[in-house]
Amino acid sequence: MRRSKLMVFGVIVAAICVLGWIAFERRGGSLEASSDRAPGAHAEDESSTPLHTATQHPKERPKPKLQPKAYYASDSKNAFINSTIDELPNFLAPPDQAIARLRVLADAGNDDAKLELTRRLSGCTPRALRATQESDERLRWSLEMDQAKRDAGEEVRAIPFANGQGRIDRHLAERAACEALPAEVLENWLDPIDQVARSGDTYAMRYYAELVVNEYDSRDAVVADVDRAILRRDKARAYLQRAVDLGDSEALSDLADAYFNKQTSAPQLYAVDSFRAYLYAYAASFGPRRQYQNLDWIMSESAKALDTQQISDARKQGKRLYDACCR
Amino acid sequence: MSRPVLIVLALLVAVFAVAYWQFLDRKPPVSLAAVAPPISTKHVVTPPSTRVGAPGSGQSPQSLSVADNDRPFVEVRPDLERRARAGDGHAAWRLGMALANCNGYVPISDEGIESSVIDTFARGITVRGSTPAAMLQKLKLAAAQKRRDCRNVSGLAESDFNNEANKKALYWMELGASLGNADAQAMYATLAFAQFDGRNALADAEQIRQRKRLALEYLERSLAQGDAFALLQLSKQHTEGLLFPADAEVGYRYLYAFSLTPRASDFVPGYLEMMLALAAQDLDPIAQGRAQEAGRRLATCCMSKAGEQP
Repeated sequence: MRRSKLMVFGVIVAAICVLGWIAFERRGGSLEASSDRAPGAHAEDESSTPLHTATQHPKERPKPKLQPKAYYASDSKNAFINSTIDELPNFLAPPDQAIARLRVLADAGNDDAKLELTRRLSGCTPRALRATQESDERLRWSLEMDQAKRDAGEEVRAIPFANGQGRIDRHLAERAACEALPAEVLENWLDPIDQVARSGDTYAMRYYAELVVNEYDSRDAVVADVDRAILRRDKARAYLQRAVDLGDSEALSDLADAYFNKQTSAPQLYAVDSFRAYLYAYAASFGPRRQYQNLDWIMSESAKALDTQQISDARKQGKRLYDACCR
Repeated sequence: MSRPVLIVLALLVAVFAVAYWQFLDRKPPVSLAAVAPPISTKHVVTPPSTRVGAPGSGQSPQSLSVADNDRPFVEVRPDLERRARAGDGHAAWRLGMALANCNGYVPISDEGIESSVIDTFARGITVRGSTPAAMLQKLKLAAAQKRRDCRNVSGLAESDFNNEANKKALYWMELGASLGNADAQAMYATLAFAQFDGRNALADAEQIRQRKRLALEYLERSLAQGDAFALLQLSKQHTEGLLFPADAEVGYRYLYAFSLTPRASDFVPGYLEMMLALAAQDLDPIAQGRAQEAGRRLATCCMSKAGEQP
């Protein structure tokens, strides 16, 4: 009898736990979500005007490639042989040979090669070349200053000097490889990743957007290339939206970041919009959390520019958005 | 079956029923389209005018100096602002130049420069490709030019936070350009993008494109008015690669052309020679000769002394 009572008590506790978990999920799924709710506001207000219209989802969502590829080899002498994905050259492969190999593989239709080729070529744009050259000049000056210091021992100075010189030499080799490339390859450096993105690969879509933002990282970069900057920016925006449509919840996080007021000089894909930053971050918070995501920070900072009603609205729309795209 | 077991079974059924209901209770699919209304551009200041001024409708300045009969700038500023708002393009240009070029300016003597350079090199800090003597010469020339350009403007201390001084300079320069002042039209390109920074440039690229077109149009109009200052600005733009693709030879060509015009006397002796040497450092002798020949032809546009234009 005593055993039976214990069993009943255990089941009641389990039931309470399950019901509590369900209630927690229905309120938004995060502790942060329930902290500053507007008085009287419901987390899910079905009667509110829907912001979205029904959308046709593909019958089979392409599996997003969520993990960036990394190509490492244990033996630098055999950089090509030890590539981990197909026959892609690894980080240690000489830049000219690596790019040549990637072009061959990309032409043969290898999507991974196309992504890696664009990544490599992104270091060959005039902006990137100028940036590394300036950075190398600063490093060279810094190394010279270090060498002139008399208070540090020879051994203390030798290691940073070797590291810095190695970096400068590597950049020199990369610049030489870039300069040897045909102009049309350099001019159309985003084409390989664009091809992959057009095929429905959401990782390529998100990476395309990231590359565009990186490329136009200053006012002067935009001014100098403004027509193309607008075309690429609009394509990047469309790709992020498309990636969400295809169920890639990481694109929600990217959109939150794109609207977020970072308070730095970092370039924005969209004009700052705290409401949308909060909305997308909230939506992304229902998805799998990944390292380096800063959703809580985006929400807490964006909330400072919003009133309680706006926060409540952003949550409703964010939840609905996540349910529609990525649940 | 005993009563406790029945209770346990009933509870388990209830829990699974609730969980299943939760699983089924999903929202219908919704579109993302409505989530992204047009972007906000409210942080971009609307320029006073985007009208391109008629040639010759503003006065041209006497020199690059913004000083006025030795009266301190702080004294004449209210009058300049009143005149600029009343349609005086030259007054607007002077306000723009003072804010862009002389904000926060503090005169520094040649002795001060010398001691600074000596101190720098004594601490072991070197400047690549420059000797102490060459560095000293460059700094002295730059300081002399600044003294000349900013005569009587010391004490102008507009907040430079968020590029505010340049935004104000743009306001006046744009007004001067729209009033037809040739120097303001030439200078507009340098300030046209002051409202943008790395953060908002990509998001607001359409406005940048519009300003770029306007800057090019103003440069053409300035040149059409025979303003040699436009040659100087064209040199800068061709060298920096913003309005035009970067081209060292073309940049040198326009600078050389400017050096042949009467407006070259706006610079202190030696300063233009220094600029020409810097601009030519990446050119081979053939390219340099070619640029000089083209520059001589270009200079014919602007051989009248500033202020003599209609």
